[in-house]
Amino acid sequence: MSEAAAERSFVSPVRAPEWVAVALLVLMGSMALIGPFLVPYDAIATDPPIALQQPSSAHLFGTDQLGRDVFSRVIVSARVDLGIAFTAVITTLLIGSALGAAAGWAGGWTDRIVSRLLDTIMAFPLFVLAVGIAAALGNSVSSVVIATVIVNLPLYARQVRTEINRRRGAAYVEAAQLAGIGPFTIVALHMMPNLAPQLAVQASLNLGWAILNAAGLSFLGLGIRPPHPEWGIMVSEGAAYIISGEWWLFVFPGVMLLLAVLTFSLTGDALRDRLDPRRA
Amino acid sequence: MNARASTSPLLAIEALSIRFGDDQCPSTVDAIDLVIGRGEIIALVGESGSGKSLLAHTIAGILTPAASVRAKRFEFAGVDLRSPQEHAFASLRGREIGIVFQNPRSALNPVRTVGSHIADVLHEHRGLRFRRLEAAVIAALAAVRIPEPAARARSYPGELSGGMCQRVMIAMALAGDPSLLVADEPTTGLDTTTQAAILDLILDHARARRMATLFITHDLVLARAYAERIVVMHAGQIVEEAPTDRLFAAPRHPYSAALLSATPANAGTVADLNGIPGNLPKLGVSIPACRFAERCARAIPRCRSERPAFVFDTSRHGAACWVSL
Amino acid sequence: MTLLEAIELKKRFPLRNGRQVHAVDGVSFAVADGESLGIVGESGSGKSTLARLVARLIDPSDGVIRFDGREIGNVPAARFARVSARRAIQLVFQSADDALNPSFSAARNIAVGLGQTRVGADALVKVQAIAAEVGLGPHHLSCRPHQLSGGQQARVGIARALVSEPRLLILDEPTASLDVSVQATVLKLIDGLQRRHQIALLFISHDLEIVRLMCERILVLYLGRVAEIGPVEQVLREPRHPYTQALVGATPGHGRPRATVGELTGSINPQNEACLFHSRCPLAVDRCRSEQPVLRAVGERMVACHRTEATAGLGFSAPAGC
Repeated sequence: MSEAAAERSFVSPVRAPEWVAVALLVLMGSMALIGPFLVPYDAIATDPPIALQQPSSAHLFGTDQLGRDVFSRVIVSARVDLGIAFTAVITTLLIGSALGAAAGWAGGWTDRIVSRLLDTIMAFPLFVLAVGIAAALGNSVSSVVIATVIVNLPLYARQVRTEINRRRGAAYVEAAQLAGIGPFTIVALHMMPNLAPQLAVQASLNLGWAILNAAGLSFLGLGIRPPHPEWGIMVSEGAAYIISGEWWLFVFPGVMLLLAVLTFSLTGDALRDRLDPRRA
Repeated sequence: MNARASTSPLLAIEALSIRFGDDQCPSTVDAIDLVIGRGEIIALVGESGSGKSLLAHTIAGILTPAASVRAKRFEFAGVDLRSPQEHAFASLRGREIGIVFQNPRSALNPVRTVGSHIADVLHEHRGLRFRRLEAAVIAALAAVRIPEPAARARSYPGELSGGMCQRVMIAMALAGDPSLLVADEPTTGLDTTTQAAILDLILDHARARRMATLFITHDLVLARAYAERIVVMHAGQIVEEAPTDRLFAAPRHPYSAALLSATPANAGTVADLNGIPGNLPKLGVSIPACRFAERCARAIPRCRSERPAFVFDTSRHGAACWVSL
Repeated sequence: MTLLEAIELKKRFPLRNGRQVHAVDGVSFAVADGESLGIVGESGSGKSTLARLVARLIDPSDGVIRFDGREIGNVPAARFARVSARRAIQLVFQSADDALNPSFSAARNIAVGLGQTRVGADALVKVQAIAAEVGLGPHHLSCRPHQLSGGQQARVGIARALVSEPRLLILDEPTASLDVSVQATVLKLIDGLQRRHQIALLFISHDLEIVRLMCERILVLYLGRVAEIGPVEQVLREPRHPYTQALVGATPGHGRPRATVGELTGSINPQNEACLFHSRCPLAVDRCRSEQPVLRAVGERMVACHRTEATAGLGFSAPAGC
C-alpha cells in the first residue's frame, strides 16, 4: 500500500458507497425526464368524488383533496423542481465564475467593485430577495430562478476569485504570457479547467440546496402556483390535513424532497472523493 | 538516565523495517541496521524516496501512525523502543533526543513569541519557572548566536528570517540537553552563507556537548563537510556506510559511485556528469531483492533474487552488494 | 556579436508605507550570441526579478535593455507579446508544481510555447520534433504532468521554451527541486541543446558548482547590485570581491576557511552613497560607508569594491555580525 493510501484510510476508514449516489441520480433523472410520460394519471385533472383516498393499488400514493393522484403529481414535480434547481445553478455558476475570474485576475478596482457587490448580495437573505424580486417582476417561476441565481453568486464568485488570484503567479501562467497568449484566453482556457473539479463539487452540493429553496419559496406562495404540482406546494397544502390524518398528502412529497437533496449531497461527496488529486 | 556515561552505543537498530498497510505489503523501508555511538556525527544521505526522512522520524519517535515499525533491535541508551508504548518515547523525545526539521517557519507557531516556544521546552524538561526560566530562555537564544536575545525572545516567528527561525528551532532542540540530535535537512531553503553558519553552529554545539548528531541530507558534499561517517540509502535500504574520506576516495556500492558522479562539485566539466538511468522501483509490483538492480550497470541475476548481505571490511567501510566495486 | 545588453537596470517595488524595495539597483551586463552567463546570488539579490525583467514579464523602473541592437525595455510588458523579439527570448522555470498546466497534456504544454492553446497540425510537428530532442517519447506527450517524473516534467518545461526557437534562453533555477541524479541528466541535456542550437544562456542559480559547469562567465549579485562579474573559473578560484569570497567560502567542500557573515538585510530604501555590503564586510573602511563603489576592471573581471588591493589571495575567515 502506498504511503498516501495508508494515511487516507487511517483518517477516513468509512465512506458511503459511490453506487448509492449513482443509483439515486439515475432514479431522479428518470423521474424528471421521462416520468411525466409514464405516470398513470393526469397530474392536474381533478376528480372530487375520489378525493382523500388512502394509498391503494389504483392510487399508489392515494389522492389529494381534489381527487388528483398523488403519485403522478409527485413524479411530475421532479421535473419542475429539478428544472428550476439546474437552471439556477448552471446560470449562477457561469455568471459567478466570470465575475470571480475578472476580479481575481485584474485585481485593483475591478476586484474592489466586484467584492463590494458580492458583499451586498450576501447581506440579503434569500427569502427577502425573492419576495422583493417577485414584487418587482411579478410572481412567476423566473422570479424564483433569478432570486436563487443572485443569492448564490457569491458562492462561486469568491471561490473562483481566490483560486484565480492564487494561480495568477504560477509559472505555467507566466509561460503562457511569455508566448503572447492574451489574458482572456489564459483565464478561460488555461486556468479554469483546473478549477472545474472544485466547481463541479460545489455545484452538485448547491443543487440540493437549490431544490430546497424552490420548494421553500413555493411553500410560501412564491413561484409555482397551484394547480401545478411541486413538492413544496404539495407539502404546504398537505400540512392542513395533518390533524385529520391524511398523512399521504405531505409525507410522500416530503420524502421525495429528502431523497432529492440526499442524491446531490451524496453525488457531491462522491465527486469530491473521485476528483481528489491525490488519488490520481 | 545518563546516556553519555555508558560505553555501549547510543542508538542501536537491527533489521528495522517500516511498512504502510498490513504485513502482506512490501516494506517501504527495509532491513535497516544502524549504530550511532556517543558523540558521533553521522550523515544519512539519500535522494527522494530513499526513506531517510521516515527513518529519521522513527528514530525521533514521530512516525505517522499510519505506518508500522518492526525491528529485531531498536534501542536508545538501553531503552527498548520496539514496543508501541508511547510513554517510552515521550520521556526521550525532546530531552534525550532533540529534533530539528527543515522549513523552520512552519514548525513555529506564528501566534506565539519565540521566547515562549523555548520556555515550553525548558519548563517541560528542566522544570524551570519564572525568573530562572526567563534567564534560561535568553541564555538559550544567545547560545545559538542570535543577536539581542532579550529583545528577540519577545518577537514573533513572522518577524524573523529563515535562518533565525532555524536557530530558534536549534535552541529548542538543545534545551533539553540531548545526547542525540536528529537534524532532517536543516538547511534546505536557506541561503548558502546562512547554511554554513547554521551547520557550523550545530557542529560547535555537538563537539562541546559530546552530542551525537544524525544529519539527514540529499547533499553528499554537505555531508562530507560536516560528518565523520556517511550512510547512503536508496529506495528504503542502506546500501553503503563508511568513514567520510573513504566513501569519497573509494565508494564500494554502484549507487554511491553513481551519486558521486552526478554531483556537480565532483565534476570538472559537464561531460564528467553522469545521471542515473531508470526510476525507483514501484512498491507492489515485484521488486528485486536489491532495489538498485534495475538501474545498475553491474547487476547479475543474483541481485534480483537474493538480498545482498551487508559486509564490513576492517576500516568500518561496508556495502550491501554482490558485485561491489 | 552582442545579443543582449542591460545598462543600469533598475526595478523598484513600492511598499505600503511609502518605502520601496530596490530589487534591482543599477545592473549592467552583456551577453554575446551563444554565450552563457551565470547569475548567482542569495535571497534578496534580485536575480529572479532580473530574469523577469530581461524576459520582459515586468517593466524596468529605469535603465535600458537592448536585444539584437534594438531597445526592448520601453515597450510595456503587456504589449510586448506582439513584438517580434518576444519569441526570441524564452524562460525555463523551476520545476515546481506550477511549472506546467496540470490539466494539459505534455504536448499541449509544449504547444503553449508556440502561443497555442490547442495543438494544431503544424504545431504538432514542431512539438514532436522538440520532444524527441529533449528525450521525450510519443507516449510521454499524451501524459499529464502528474503522471510524469520530476525529470520528465523538467524536460517538458525545456521543450516548451525551445519550441519557438529562441536565441536567448533564461533559466531560473531549472534544477533546484530535482534529485542530484536527475539534475545531472537535465544539466547535460541543457548543455547539449545549447551547443547544438547555439543559444545564449542566462543561467540563474544559487549553486556555484552548477554555474561553474554550465557557464563561461558569472555575475555575482548582492542586494540588487553587481558585486563581481568575469570568467567563471577565475571568479570562483580567486574571487576579489569580499562578498564573492564569503559566498565561495560558505559553499561546502571548497577546502577554504568557512566564513560566517551573518544574515542578509533587505534592500529597502538602500543608501545610494554606500556599499551595501559594508555592514558585514571585514575589510570595510570609512570610504565604504560614504561612497558607492563602481565596477572596475581587475584582471579580466569587473569588481565593485574599494578595497580590491586588499582582497588579492585573501583567505576570508573573519566572522562579522552573528
